[in-house]
Amino acid sequence: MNHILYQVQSNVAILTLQQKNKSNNLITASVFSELKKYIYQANHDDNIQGLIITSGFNHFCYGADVAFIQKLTTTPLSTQYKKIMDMHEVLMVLTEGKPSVCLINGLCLGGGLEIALATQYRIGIMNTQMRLGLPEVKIGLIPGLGGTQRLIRLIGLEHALPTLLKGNNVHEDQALQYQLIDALSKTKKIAITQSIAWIKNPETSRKKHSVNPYRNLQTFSGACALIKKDTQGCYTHVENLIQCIYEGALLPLRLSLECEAHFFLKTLNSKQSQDILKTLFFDRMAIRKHAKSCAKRHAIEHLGIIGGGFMGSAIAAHALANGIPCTVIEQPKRITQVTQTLHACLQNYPPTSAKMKITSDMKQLSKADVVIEAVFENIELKQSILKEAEQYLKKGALLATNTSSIPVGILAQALESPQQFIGIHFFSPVRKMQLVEIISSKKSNIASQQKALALSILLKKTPILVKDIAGFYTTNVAMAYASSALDMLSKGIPAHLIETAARRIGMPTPPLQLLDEIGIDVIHGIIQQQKSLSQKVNPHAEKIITELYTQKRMGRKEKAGFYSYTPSRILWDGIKQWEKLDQSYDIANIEHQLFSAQTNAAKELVETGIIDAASANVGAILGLGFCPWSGGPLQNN
Amino acid sequence: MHKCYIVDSKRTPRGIGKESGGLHTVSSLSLLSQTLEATVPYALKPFIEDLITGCVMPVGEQGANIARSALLRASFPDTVPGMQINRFCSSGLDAIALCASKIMAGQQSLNLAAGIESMSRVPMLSDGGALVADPSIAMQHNIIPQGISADLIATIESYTREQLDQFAVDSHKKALNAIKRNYLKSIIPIYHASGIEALTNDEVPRNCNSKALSSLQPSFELIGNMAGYNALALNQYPEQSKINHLHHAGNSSALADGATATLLASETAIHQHGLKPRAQIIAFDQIGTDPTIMLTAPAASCKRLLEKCKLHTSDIDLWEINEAFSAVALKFIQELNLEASRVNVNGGAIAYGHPLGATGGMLVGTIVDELTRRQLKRGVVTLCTAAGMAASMLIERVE
Repeated sequence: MNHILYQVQSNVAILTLQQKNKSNNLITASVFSELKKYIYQANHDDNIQGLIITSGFNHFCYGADVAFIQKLTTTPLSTQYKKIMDMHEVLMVLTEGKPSVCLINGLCLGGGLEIALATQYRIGIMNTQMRLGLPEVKIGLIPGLGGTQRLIRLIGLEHALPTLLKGNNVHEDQALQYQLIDALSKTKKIAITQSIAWIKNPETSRKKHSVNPYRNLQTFSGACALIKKDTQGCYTHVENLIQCIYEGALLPLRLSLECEAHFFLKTLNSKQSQDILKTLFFDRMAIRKHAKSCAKRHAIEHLGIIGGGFMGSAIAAHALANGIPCTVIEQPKRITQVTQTLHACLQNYPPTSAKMKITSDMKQLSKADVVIEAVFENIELKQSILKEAEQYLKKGALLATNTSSIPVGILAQALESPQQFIGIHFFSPVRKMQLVEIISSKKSNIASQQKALALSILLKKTPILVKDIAGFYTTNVAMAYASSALDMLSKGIPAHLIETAARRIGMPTPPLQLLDEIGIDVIHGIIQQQKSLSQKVNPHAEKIITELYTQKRMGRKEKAGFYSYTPSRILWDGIKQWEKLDQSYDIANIEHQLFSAQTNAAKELVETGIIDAASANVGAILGLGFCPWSGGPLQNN
Repeated sequence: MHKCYIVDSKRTPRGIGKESGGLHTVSSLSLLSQTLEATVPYALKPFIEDLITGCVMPVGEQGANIARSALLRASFPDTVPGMQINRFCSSGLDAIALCASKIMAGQQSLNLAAGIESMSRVPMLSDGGALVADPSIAMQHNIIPQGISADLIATIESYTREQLDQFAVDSHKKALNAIKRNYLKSIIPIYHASGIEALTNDEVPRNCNSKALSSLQPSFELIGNMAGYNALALNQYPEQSKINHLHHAGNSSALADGATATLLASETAIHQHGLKPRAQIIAFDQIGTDPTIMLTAPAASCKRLLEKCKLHTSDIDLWEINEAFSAVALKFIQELNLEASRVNVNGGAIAYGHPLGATGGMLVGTIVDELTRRQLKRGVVTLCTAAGMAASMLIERVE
């Protein structure tokens, strides 16, 4: 046991968390038991006047180890409860025992923040990119070490509710403004001096926040409504969270912690949370772990991108922001414009020192370890550009195509070394979307796949491996979703009911709006391509898309599609030609069709070996926003 | 089953439910006890077997069972017990129904039913409650403010702003006419401690026209959009694509202060004390509906009430539906297919104001007076309530 360094300075105990064999602190059973030992030791030692908890790393603490939390579920419920309450006993010593101070640097999340909240005084250390938060809600859980109850009491409902319910992080200036931290120090050394001074004279003049729901009736009533608006009632854990906040707020702190423990266990042990946790945490981590191991073997020091259009620029900016120098190839007449686009993309990131070059000279690609072609989705165009680029590649470099639907094998036919060629499907917006699909053709070699995985990790993405069919995985699932909507529309179901039903099952973008976002011309192109590849195409879907295409309603970019966009987005009147309003429709049925269209498509792709089930779940949620509450289309919902 | 008669029903004038209102400086206890005094002749006081009082905000000065306190203050003998009940806006009518039940069951023969709400002194939401704050209710059951429920009804039924405003204008017109012609017989004056009159007549009704109303801003648009309540309404009614916010201060019931009391007697008590019954309570009903739309239950309640009595809507001479919002009354008239000329003939809460716990009893008094004036037989009183309920009662005038 040596996760914690215990030192004494001026009769104050300093507990420095630095988890053994790690570079970041995570709370595990052994870390917590060591923390417990030292908290009691400091409190029992008559020579010690108080204690300081701090981190020996760049970050205070990433939170509790999810595997440690998950392990709880293997024990009987009463044991789970007892274990949590035992931990609360320890944290209560920080709250009610000798003066305690927490020094916060860098990330201070989840269980880490809950320890900080249990102490009596918090000092932030400046310029450490401090971010405090309780992100449990994002992986299907709720805080379980007092976070729900201590945060509302410390900073008040107004600031605490969004932090808890959305899992948003609080930054340095906000933390001070909310009084989530009591003071800021320039350095850790100064912070320790300040802490010791405070411990010797522990006075605080903080205002007390009333959390009683009945003195904050509008706040609670409004929070209920706004949360439901967001979640559409799909997320049991969010409902448990707000219920836990409410019921705990009716009790004194100590009893409110018991209340929190009951709601935490109710959530942790629920099927929905377990499904979300499996996909968004465990499966995603396993995928990233494999990719990370590839990143160790394949160095990528320079990236080449062919085509500085919408996607090309976005990929280049993302790579630059992650410290990878880029060379972007573009036609001479477009270089000025691409430079502008790229700079605009970079505005969304913190400043980077990575170098970029925009040129028309393909020879410049010889520096790149990976070259990504990101030109317009046209087979002939892509083939000719890839063929040209291939000549200039450095030995052993990977050539990749960014495409959402064209089979990689077809593009590979144009190449001399198809074994070094692979598909990497980036999602838009590149900065935000965590997923990439990696598509090996029959001829791609294993090293190519590993390099693509390595690149994904460097770009902080989660890569899923998909076999080479038209539309790969995500595009096929998205098309199934859209087709099902178009099918229903062609049968007379009102468009607004279809869109509403999609929102009600927790889809981030309803299907007709999605088609507008993608572009009716793009969809039209995909349908034509599918037909040319002799794939089955839903005739109703084709009819409606063709109608819009003929009417030049190309989607949001043209401010006209299934929606009209001026002055604001409303469904296009012309949609009424398909709607049959003389009958009533069961929205549950529409919801079911939109949901099962996607789960059936995903299941079929898994059953035919295009993708494995875990990747299918992770990919649908991260790539399509598919009903995150479900844990993915391959869970048994 | 024993018969239950209404011997008398008194009510205070309805004061504006704000600091500026004529009853604001009168305590709610004083208001209720003056009403009890005025309703029960001195000699009858010892024979009252129970007082049930409707009150929707039974906290603060209206708390701790205001019924018993009011009896003591009004110098009833110690032997007269009292209790307070709450079914939101129908509490006053429910108090009568409960008192009547005990008489009909033969357990008691002389009861007093009352209602009190001093909204200017004990504001709405003073009693908190899980309904609006506990997520397991508020969120799971899509609980929204009543005004948004009213807007939801208007949206579903495609009522126009003009229709709703016209209903409000008519309510005021009918009320002013009734006041002018002295139809409202059951009003008692309310006094300050000095003996000076605090209020002698309803003070809310005013001359209003649809032009003036048309300039009023919708009351619930902002909270509907900003606080997410519209999303809850649409979650419950997904076939609607948006909520039309049409209700405003002018076509919704006003806040009011007031109290009411109704003396109920069995046939035996009538004979024993030589009382003259004014009407008989024939039947009553309470029912629930979807708590999101909340305000549409009166129609269902009245249907069941008439079914119980084997009567049709055409058998009812006069109707009193509490005018919580214009859309509530319009929807009720539409659903039961009533002649508008038989409904709320002297106006309603949009004109007079709606002192929550007292309104049910006031409507009973109003309909008894009007049946008497018109020499008609049957009247039905009904009110919608928060959380999606309704109560109704059928009475017959006694010749």
